Amino acid sequence: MHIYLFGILEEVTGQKILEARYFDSSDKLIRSLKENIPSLNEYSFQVSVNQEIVTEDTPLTDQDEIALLPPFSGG
Amino acid sequence: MNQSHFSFIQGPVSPQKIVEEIQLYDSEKQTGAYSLFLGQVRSDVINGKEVRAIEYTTYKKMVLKKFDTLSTRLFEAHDINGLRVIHSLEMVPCGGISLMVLATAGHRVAAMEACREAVDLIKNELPIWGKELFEDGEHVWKENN
Repeated sequence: MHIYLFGILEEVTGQKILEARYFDSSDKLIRSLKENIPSLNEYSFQVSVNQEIVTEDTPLTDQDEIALLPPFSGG
Repeated sequence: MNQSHFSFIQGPVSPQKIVEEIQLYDSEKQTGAYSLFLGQVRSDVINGKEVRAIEYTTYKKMVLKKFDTLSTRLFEAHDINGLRVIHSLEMVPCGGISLMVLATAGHRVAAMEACREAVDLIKNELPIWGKELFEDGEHVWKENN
């Protein structure tokens, strides 16, 4: 799966896109990412699936576009 | 002309561009009110260091999708006939305009309320990030309140 990182998360991981193996739910995916990339535990972020923010565990397909979104600061 | 429109621009929004946006409504004879918000990069002092610029990045695909939803909500809630937004990407020095929101309506109250609400929604709900850059090359990531 491709996971897009933005803002400070892109900076601290040094990566714009993470490659991860397929997980069937957003909670499992995020848990795995946090285990593999401990620096993700130090920052708050929201998760989007296909450009929609998800606040609960959400089923995933391997075609879904996932992104980790730190607090917004446009304007 | 589209009723609502969002665009990104590299660097600051120029005064000329803002004038062009207003002129788009010259032929819209039902428009009686414009409400215009301009956001300018401010030279905040953070930990004793002065901000010299903000560098903006975004998740463009999500911004465009979310903006469609936001503008539908605004058109339902307010009697407006136009909503145009320009947001900067990349570097905007202090004093540069980084956000323009223009709401038009038949009457002033709808235009002003929609403009204010649009600015809040843009700042709170669109995935755009600003990195505040200092003179010494250091930076901090901005967070909207």
